[in-house]
Amino acid sequence: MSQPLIRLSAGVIGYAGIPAVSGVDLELHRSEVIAVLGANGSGKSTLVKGILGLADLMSGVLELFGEPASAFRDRARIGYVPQRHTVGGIVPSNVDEVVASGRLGRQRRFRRATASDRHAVAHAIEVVGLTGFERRPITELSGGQQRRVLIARALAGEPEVLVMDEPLAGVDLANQGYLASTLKHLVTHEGTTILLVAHELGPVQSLVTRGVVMRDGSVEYDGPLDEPHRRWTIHDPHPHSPDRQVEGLGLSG
Amino acid sequence: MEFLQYEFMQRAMLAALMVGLAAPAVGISIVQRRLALIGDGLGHIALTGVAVGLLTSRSPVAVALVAAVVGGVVVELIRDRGRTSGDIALAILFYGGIAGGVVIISQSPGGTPGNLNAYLFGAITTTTRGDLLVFAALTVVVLLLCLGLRRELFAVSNDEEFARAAGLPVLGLNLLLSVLTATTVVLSMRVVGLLLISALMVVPVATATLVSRSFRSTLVLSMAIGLLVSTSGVAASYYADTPSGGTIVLLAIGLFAVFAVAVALREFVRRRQAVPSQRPAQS
Repeated sequence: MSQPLIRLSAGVIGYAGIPAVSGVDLELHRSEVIAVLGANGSGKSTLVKGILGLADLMSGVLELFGEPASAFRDRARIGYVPQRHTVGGIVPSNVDEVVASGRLGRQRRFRRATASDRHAVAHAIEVVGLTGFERRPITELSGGQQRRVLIARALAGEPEVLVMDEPLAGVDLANQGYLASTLKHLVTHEGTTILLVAHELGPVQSLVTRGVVMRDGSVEYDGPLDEPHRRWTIHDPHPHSPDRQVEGLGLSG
Repeated sequence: MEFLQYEFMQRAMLAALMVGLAAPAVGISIVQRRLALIGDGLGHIALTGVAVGLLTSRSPVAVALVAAVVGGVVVELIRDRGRTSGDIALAILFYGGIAGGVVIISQSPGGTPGNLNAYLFGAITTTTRGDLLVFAALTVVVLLLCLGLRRELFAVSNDEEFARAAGLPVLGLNLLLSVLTATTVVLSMRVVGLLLISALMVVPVATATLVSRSFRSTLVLSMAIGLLVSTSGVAASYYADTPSGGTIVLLAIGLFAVFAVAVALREFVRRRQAVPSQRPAQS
């Protein structure tokens, strides 16, 4: 098998000396779409934050693109879509400005944006279907549209791996469908490798090549997703309530 | 413009012009990260620097600059370690700064209450030629860094976690902003005074956010407002014989109120106009 883009072995990850994830092995290969599933507090977000350098790797080995994470400088190769519902702040900003901030990892300081920078930003906005909204203030967009802005911001750096934390949480069904088709486009047409954290997979289920199910800070299942997904839907009495769906995941027994 | 025939007023006007441009350029990042009062805190720390300068007969501005920059770095490092005690640590630093300043000034040869007032509330007409040169150099540095790194500062202030994941030097940018804030505090000391500095960094930005639809237009408009209120404030203080700092800040707040009312009126009119078209659908 080719060299993994991300390799974590015996990873212990946490904050301020307190581990939230321990003994985790994970490999992400090119063109894979991995979904990290689990209940609230299972450590799934901490796991991806450890990979991104946002949580502390307390022990274990983390390699990014074959390099030890501590020596890895080319962070722009990994795009991050945080778990946030809104992007607006007190100071106004428009779609173009927020998406362009995702390009900075590839730009040199004190330099004007080059033609390729502007093209990458415009293309990222186009991929998420927000062309024509460039000058629109972020606060005037719907929650689903704001989520698309965050994805475009990650794409503006032209990442090889896209790491997404709960991309569908709190997004209405129409926008979920839209996001799913955006991800499908990225996987099939742009060759993007995806690592996503999710409560529920919904319309992105068909894209996922492998599922990693977390429980109490450890990996409980790593493999094709058919099995846990089937149990999930069978046990779920309330399809529209994300919290119930996690309970319905049925992995306790 | 008859007041400009006096050399001290020319110098005052130049100092006001520089502060009016620099303060909102730094302030926009401060407002964006909800640290509107940080300038106030660094002003407190700068006061200890002023006092030490007076006591040791060195340039109070230079020592205040060192004190404020060191204070800014310490504040940022505390914020970066960011645990629950950060808030209290900042409070201790700030009040320590002003208490130290008051006590040390009282012991210094030139330390009179009037002297203290000049630093706390500004004494723009005492600006010397030498001050002006130092201020000009500081203004150029502050503006070059704020405008040259505006996208980076925007990214870090907008979403620090994302900036970190994207590989931006987050701690470096945060320290830079802290140092820029400290520098602006010292720069503004003569014009508006240490106790009113935050106002000139924050209020023009707050006013601009009421009508702007992008970061860029907020930045440009807030600098224009800063320039307008600081220069007209100096002119007004000359004619009305009022302290320059307070006059500038009152003008800034007055302009904010005018903008706020205008925006509210525009919303009101828009809603009134929108109502008739909705009526058929509602009935």
